[in-house]
Amino acid sequence: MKNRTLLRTLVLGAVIGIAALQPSFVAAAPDSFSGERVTVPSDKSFDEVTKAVKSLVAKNGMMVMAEVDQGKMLSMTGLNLKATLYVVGNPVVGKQLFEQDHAVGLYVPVRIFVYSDANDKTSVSYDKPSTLLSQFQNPKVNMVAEMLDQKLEGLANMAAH
Amino acid sequence: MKSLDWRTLATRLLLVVAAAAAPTAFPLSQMGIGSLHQLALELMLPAALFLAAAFLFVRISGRHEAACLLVRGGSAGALATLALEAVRYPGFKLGFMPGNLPQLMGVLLLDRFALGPSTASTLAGFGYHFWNGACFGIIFALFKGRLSKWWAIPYGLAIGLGFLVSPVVQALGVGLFGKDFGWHFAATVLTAHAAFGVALAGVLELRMPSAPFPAAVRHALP
Repeated sequence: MKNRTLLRTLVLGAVIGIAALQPSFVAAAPDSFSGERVTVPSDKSFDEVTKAVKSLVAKNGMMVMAEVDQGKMLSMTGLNLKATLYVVGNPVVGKQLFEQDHAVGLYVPVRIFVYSDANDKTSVSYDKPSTLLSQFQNPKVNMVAEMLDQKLEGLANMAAH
Repeated sequence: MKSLDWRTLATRLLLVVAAAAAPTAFPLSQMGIGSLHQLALELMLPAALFLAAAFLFVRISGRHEAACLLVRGGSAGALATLALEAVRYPGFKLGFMPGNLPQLMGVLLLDRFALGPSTASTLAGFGYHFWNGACFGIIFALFKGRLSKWWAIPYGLAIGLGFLVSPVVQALGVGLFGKDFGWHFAATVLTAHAAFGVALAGVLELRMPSAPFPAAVRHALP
């Protein structure tokens, strides 16, 4: 009788323990990843950096596909902000990535963010494509992502300095 | 040999500059000097209106030769673009080009790259493509003088070469001369532009029938 009670307690305890561990199993699922954000500060003004970004995009083998001027958008709320998001890429690279996995569309084309902080210091910021795209565990995607890393690094540094 | 007076030279130079606006806009936009949409409104449209006004002015002021050059050059250039398309489009379908460039120009013109092409943007892109052809035709007609019309072939090739080293190919990610894409890119571009040159030479000095064109067109032709 005592042994049956003990056995029931052990089984119940095991079930509760496994149920409590579920979130950690979910957290370890293959879709998890951590992106690495790169921020390049600049001594130039916001206008100079945005102008440089737009003129350097082509030299780094990409095109500005879309521009989101958060500063102008948020000025309608009364907020004084200097911030513009550039969506950049090129169709050839995009084709190579999408041919491997259509899900890359969440991260491609890539984004470059130019903003001024509270002290009016401008920075160029982006998430390293290799850290975002490594989750797809595809060697071709990783290779293209590393190439994008180099392009963004070159672009951000040239625009900021 | 009749030499051109300074007024004629100045007029032709002004017309060449106006005609060069549209073909220059795409490379300028890829250098970051405004978007193609902006340049269409601030550069291409004013230049096109200037050309139209210039045509009317030279006609009214009796400079029939200049008026004729504008009409002939523009028409021949636009028609010659069909020959270019006869090479470019199959090249694109065979994978020799990174994309359909007139469609790309269209989405950039209407500022809808992120949304992709629509019927309107595709029409705009092809319209721009043929207008570029017309402008190159005008430039050749104005510069040609007494040279043989067959100089249009090296002229076409020079345009193709200019494209292969322009900021556009860098922005497309194919590199100068398409070195990061493949030899077939440069081959297609140069062949297409050579075809443009051949067609431009063939059409430029065709004798046009006097009817049923409207009087304004008939009077503009020799």
